[in-house]
Amino acid sequence: MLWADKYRPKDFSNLDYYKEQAANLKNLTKDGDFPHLLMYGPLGAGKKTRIMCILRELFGPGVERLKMEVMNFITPSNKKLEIMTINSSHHIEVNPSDVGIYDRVVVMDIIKNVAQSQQLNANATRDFKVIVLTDVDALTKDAQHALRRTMEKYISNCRIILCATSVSRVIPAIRSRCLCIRIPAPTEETIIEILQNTCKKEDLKLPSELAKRIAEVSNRNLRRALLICEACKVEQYPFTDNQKVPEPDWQVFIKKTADKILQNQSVETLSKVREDLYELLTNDIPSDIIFKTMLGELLKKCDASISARVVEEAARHEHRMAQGNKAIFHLESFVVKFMYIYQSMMQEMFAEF
Amino acid sequence: MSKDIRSFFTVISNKSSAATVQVPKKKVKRLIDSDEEDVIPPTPDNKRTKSINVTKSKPTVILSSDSEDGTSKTKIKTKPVNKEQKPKLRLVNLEDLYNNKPIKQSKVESNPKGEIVKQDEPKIKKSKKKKIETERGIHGDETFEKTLMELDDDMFIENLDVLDKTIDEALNSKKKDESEVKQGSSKENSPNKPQNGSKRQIMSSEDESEVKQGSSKENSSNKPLDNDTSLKGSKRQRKPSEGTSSTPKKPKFEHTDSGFDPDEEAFEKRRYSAMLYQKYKTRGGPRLHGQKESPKGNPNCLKNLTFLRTGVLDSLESEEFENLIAEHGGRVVKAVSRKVNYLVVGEDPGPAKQQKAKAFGIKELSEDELFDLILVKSGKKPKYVVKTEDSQDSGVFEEKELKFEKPHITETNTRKKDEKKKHTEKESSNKEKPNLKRIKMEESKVEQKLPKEKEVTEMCNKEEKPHKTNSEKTVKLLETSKTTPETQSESAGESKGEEEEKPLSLTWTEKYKPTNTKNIIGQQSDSSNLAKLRTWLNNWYRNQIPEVRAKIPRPSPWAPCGNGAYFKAALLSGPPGVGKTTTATLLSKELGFDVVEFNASDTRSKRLLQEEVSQLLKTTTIAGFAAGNDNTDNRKRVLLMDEVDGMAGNEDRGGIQELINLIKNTSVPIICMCNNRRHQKMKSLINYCFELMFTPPKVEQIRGAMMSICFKEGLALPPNVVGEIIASTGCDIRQTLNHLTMYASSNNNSSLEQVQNKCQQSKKDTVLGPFEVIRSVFTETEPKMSLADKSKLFFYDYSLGPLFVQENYLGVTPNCPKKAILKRAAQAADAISVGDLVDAKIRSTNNWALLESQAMYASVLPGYYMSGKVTRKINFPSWLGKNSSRNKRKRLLSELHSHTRMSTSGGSLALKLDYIVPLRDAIITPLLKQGLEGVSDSIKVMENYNLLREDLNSLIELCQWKNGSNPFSKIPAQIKAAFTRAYNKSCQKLPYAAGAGFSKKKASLADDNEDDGNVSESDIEENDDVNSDSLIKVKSKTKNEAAGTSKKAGTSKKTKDTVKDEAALTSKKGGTVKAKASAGTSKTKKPAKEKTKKS
Repeated sequence: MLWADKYRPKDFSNLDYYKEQAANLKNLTKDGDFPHLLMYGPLGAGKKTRIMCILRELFGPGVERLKMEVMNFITPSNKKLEIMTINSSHHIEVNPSDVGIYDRVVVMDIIKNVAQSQQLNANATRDFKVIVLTDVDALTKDAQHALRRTMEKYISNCRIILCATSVSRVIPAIRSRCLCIRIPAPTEETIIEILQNTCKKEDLKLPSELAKRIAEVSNRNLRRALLICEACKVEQYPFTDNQKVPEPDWQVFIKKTADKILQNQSVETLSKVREDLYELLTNDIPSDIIFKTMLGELLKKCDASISARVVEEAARHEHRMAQGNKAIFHLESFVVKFMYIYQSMMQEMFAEF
Repeated sequence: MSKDIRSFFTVISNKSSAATVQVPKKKVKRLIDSDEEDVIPPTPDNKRTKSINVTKSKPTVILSSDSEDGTSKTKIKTKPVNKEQKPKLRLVNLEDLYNNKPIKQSKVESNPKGEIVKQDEPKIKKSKKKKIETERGIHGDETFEKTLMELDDDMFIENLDVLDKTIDEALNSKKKDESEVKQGSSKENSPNKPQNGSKRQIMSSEDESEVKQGSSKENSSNKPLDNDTSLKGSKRQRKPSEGTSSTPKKPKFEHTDSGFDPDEEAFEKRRYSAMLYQKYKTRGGPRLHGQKESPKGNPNCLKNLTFLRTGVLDSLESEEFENLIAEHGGRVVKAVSRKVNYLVVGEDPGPAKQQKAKAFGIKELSEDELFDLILVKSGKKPKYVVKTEDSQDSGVFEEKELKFEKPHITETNTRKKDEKKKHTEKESSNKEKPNLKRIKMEESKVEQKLPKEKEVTEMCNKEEKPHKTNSEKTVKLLETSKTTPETQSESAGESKGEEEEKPLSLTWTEKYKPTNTKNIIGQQSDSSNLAKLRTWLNNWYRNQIPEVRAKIPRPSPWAPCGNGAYFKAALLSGPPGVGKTTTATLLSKELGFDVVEFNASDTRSKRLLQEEVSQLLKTTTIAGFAAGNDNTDNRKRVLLMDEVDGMAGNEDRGGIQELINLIKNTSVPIICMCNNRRHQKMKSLINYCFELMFTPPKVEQIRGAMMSICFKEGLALPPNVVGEIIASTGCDIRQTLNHLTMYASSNNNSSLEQVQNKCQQSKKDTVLGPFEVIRSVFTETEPKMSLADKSKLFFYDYSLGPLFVQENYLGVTPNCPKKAILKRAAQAADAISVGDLVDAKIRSTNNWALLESQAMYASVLPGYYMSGKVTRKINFPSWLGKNSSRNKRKRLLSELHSHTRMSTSGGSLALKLDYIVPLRDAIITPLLKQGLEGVSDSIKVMENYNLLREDLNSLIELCQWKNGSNPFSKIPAQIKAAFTRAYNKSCQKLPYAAGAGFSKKKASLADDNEDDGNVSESDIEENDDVNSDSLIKVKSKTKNEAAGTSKKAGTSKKTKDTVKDEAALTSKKGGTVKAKASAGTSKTKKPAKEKTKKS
């Protein structure tokens, strides 16, 4: 097993950071009841880990006996869909956005079903079930609206734990029904510490310099840091300080693309960039991540005079991308715009000399 | 040119005896006598001499005559009318004459021209004029002229005096005389320029600029007879007078012409032309575009006239000008040649053209003059040129016409002049009355609308030559003249039409349906489909004789069909309205076949075909029976299956297949018809049919027939209009007829423009492919597309269009400086991105009204910003392909995610961004580094993450980037195989149902069995267990049966083993096997167990 999974804490007591918050959560569940929760935070911060900790705290080790189940439902347009859920006898975990635009049906159908059914097991530790919904921010507005009533109506039978990376796309109605808990990304120091600990457990020696670099590359994503660290180990074991730290491949790719844009601003380059963007998109890298990473790379080379303008354009196009259908249109439009701005800046600079 | 003149003269002089030549002279004199004798004699002399010496002076001479007419301003309104009245009389006579007498020859000649269909007056006139001239040409001898004279005399003996007078007046009104007086004096006084000036003053006092100019020209041209330079001077004067904007350059140009130093000249020329070019480039459009009402003349009033435009006209764009001329039957050319009759001069005319035109003696017209010419020619009052003196101008134009109609025949200017002279001669001479009459005809037509009697009386009063009898006669004649041509033509048309119009209720398509095969349009030739079908049908029965049939080889499907002898059926294919059904029915009728027809209105399902058709083919038709052909064997029959591509839907299910069967076993020829032979449904049928493809006939092929129908229906449409209609229907004869019916019912005289408009509307929408659409989005078309047209491009395919635009806008080089390209691209991209927003809005809210704005953003704006040249190949949008491959990867990822879900945290996004590469490496690196020893490690990882073998593949695919290396491919095949084998053996337990979808086995699989690893194995290929497993099921049954019958029978070890396995399985797995096993097998299991125990 990969380290990231191998050494994942299973209990509040094992958590490495935010121990205070952990204590709070523990207290929250102590009297056997808790409100709906909305856990949010960036990738690799430990949301899922904490959710599992909460469940374990509530129901005991039984929640770790997981099974997968496929649930079927029929959309109003008579389309048969299935969605995979992960169950224990105490909770069910669903990601409704798996079925795309039919997520509302999932919410209405499946979740309601689960929520409606009473806990019949007399010697159950709790008289409610927990529904864990992941990627709530990817839910459509319709699904979210369908959810809000369910949350109120069946509160006696179930608790819902929502998990999202950003709370901004969750409608306020749901936010107000939940206790929102933010899980921020761990600091680099924490990551370094955890890396060292992990390596100790693996009987490896991790030079602090390398650990630092890994932490930097990981972008405060603990999971990524652990995975990179392991990759480093596979690459070359006796660690050295200046060892190559493999970056995620998609990041490398975006950087290359940004370089192309900066090197030459012309329609020909644009055609090549379009190919690259398509490649990123077909690799299913989320377009907003592409946007963000690309902008970061571009801004590195940008003069302060234009960076404000560039960021503004980026924001405009990113917004459009969120509203529109075809990410490539907006990405490309941004790239051309940037090229134009950058080129005119360069020309101005040359004109000055 | 001079040659021409001479020849002309000589010809005449040769043919006509000296007497005739002299007579005119005398007559001229006489004419003059009647008015002012002293002045006139010089003019003819002058002209004579000039005509030989200076050919160029002719146009001026002509002009002079115009001006002469023009000068008579004050009397004007009444007088010209009068003049014209009398001529009318003669007009009638002329026609009568020609209808009656010697003109038959000419008629024969002119018939082809006449074309009968349009019996517009102008045409008749023209044709008659031609006749006259041709006649004159042919019978330019005394006898002929005498006969003419006699004819005239017969009709007009009493009128003669009047005639003369009117002629005089027509030609030399008093004013004219005055001018001539001046001319004469000027000549006598030797060239005096001041005189011109004085004349001008005189004229100016009369407020008629044009007239002045004309007269001034006249004078100038008359004076400097011998002097070339002075001639040019006159030209200079003339140009401004033409109403064209005179530029200071022209004189220069002429300087060069007049030939000084050649070098200087060349230089000058070059500079001048450069200047002109600059001017040409910057010249604007028509000044008064659309502000003038263009004249509506008779459709053929400009027939045989050729026009050339130079410069920018006042109100017409060049296209409109061409249309106008074409509409009236004229011809527009682009370069100066002798054939050009008129040079229409606008603002900033090309001096080269003008020069040349002058050299050819081509008459120059301004736009207004052109309009008036049209009006005059079609018998209306001119109204464009200086409106105060319309009546006079009409006179001017008549004169002009007269002079200029001849040129098409003679095609030389010199002749014009000569003829003009002759004209005067003829006028003066009674013998030449036909010409005279012609003149009068024109005039009379111009004035037809005016109340005649009044005019006549007026004329009588004013001219003070009251021959009352004459006037009365003229009135009568006038009336008859008016009625006869029209009534004749109409009655002719109607009588013909009526003959065929008896079955009035029929539509034209039915009425003019070909009645025999020879009438089918486009099928006359020997290699036509009709001929092929005929031979095929003729030979059909012979070909069916077994011996003959055996000899006919099956033609290869690619070879051209030949005579189709092999086939039992024919398939006629082609667009609608080209005559497939007509051909088939007529032909079979002609060859004596009885036709049994099935078309789309009949149900043609398999069963019905079987029953009805086969039945029909066995019986005789009633017609045949009634005709006494009750001998069924003799009766030939043909089965027409019309519209076979319409065999569709539930109704006709199996129809095609049955048709094919029918064809295979038929005893009669079968003719099938369809529109699109490439249609999917036709594919199977084609193999059994002799294929004949009908292509639409050409416009010219159809037009003749259509014209004749038009004629029969009394619908006067010029051929070009008919051609337009045909073209607009895509050469669909039936539809053309329908259109014509519509025109006939609407019954207004459609002009070419109207028809073009209508055709535009009714035009079958030509379907542009997306590639052409995208081309026209980005290229600038010359007549700029309107916004509506541009957005229409978007609507060709509004779902695909934006994608095409986005894909290809970078392949366009916009018309802008290179620096600005990126800016343009940015603007275009921005518009495209907004377009996508609109698209999203449309689709999410179903607000399709927004499509219009999407059209703007997604197609029009990018097209506007990037408009230029499409430099790259137009690609199909790659978004579609990319999107589907993206979806595929998404699907793989979500499957992978669901498999790994138990052991990973985080969603599929985290999996994609962070996990997959380390995960892949964790599996592959042991294999790479340690080879076979690493297999177990790899498999351990696989197990931990609940991965299937297929998941590894998708994992590798997901990690794969464009032109990145694939580490998995570096693993030796041997190790890979070992890995696969080991994996298959390992029989891990999966928490989910493996398989293509997880749906299949989810019900039957229990996930919490601890002991047995076989559960999920069935899907893995080459798995021994699986194989045996499936074997067991089969074998156990047979085995058990065998066991049931003979327990003692020794069974091989192998079977025992399998049975053992099976037993073990059943005991442990329970559910699955039980479900599958029947009761019988479950019984037999026990004996099997016992056996194994024993063994």
